[in-house]
Amino acid sequence: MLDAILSVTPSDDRVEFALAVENAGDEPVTLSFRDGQRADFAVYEDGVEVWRWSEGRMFTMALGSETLDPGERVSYGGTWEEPSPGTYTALGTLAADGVDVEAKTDFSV
Amino acid sequence: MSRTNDIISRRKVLQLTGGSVSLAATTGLASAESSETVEVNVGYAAESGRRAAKREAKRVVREFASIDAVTVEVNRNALSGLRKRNDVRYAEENGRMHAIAQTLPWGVDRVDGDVAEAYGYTGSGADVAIIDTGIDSDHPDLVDNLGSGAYAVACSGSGCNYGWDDDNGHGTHCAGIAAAVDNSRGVVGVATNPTLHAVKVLDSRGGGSYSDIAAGIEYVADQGWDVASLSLGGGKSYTVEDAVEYAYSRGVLLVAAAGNSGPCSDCVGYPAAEPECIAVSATTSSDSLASFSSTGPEVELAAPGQDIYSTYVGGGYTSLDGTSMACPHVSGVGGLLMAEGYANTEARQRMRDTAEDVGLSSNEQGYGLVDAAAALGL
Repeated sequence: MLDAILSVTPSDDRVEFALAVENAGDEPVTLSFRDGQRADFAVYEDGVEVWRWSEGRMFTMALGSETLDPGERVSYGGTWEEPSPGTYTALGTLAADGVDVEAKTDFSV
Repeated sequence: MSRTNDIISRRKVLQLTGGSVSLAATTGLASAESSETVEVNVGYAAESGRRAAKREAKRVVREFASIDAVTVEVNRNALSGLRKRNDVRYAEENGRMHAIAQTLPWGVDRVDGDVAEAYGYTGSGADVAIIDTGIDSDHPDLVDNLGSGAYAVACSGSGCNYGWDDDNGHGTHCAGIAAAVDNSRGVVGVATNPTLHAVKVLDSRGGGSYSDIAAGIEYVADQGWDVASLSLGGGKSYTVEDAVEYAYSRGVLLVAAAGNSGPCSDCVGYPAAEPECIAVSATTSSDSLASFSSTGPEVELAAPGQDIYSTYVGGGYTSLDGTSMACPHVSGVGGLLMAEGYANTEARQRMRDTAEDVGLSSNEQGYGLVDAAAALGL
């Protein structure tokens, strides 16, 4: 059982995203990753994707894992440089194998 | 089984650092990056505890015959979870890994890097660029082979002596596979004496932009270096394609990780899928395809990629899995050939012609498992 919170911090020239994932269950959970990517962030305007963090990026090709104890939290970040002014919805997605963890937050620049 | 483990542990000399390392508050970003391997003694109260310890183990160092304990190498992140289990009595740190005696990693052995060296082929004179997260600039098992470096994204943090220093660990691991020094410590690389160049294009988290990666490849070509080792991947980029075409035309041997999307077919990532790149799939110590390895018609060579022990940041060592680990095995062999005067296209053809058929399909192994000794005519 994984809970996710997406926090969005807009400033003049950038928007910082942080996806915090917490193990809300009673057993340790191991997250497995295929490569260097741990999370992804996308920005939607009126339902249309206008920006995605992983777009235009490549990653290391080594497997990784992370074990979260009950109550333990981990956070992954990303930055949108030079955003256009507007009102948006951000979607943060955990990139771990075999789990479906995401969180949304509305924000404006 | 315990006998084998005993032999391994006797051969490995450990230095205990004795310092206690905080394991308490593992919240926030710091824990996200702590992929350090530690050796721990796990005492168990029930069989389920022993199994739990072995599940987390990257390597089982010793199974005690009479006491209910097992010595394992685990990711530091796994430690607190083990300690909280009712069926685990204790999980004590056995000391950080600092191998003093040199071991021959199975992958280097499998591609006959040791045979090449025994016949005097060390890669001396070849320039091998690791286009990655950087290279640990003062790692005792790499420093003698390090040449100049460059960076598109600067190393961040207190451990950075140069902009091209490694703030992640991945690039250092790849560098050690291709070309760790043959000395009395740690590991030995496929080639033991080429010049290693760190070209840092990936940040501390292991990602980088198409533009930075393309700039790194272009830089390698402009330096006239021989081999570009690309243990990275993602989607198609036209800028990276341009850079790869340019570098290939300038004589650079380009080697890239096929990708970790397996099991899958026709799923080789970029830049490995570019025709100028040698796409490398990953095999296990039993010559089967690693389950995570991408496959497809672009796969040109296979190389060891699972449970690969190599150099890591902080002067340490760790085991990693991935086509990232397979790639530098081929880069090392490429360095051995280009040190003997092969052009990039000749070295590529030579590795194809002499690769060992390990019985996988052509989409899995390409021409076969790269073979340093055969490529050198040994």
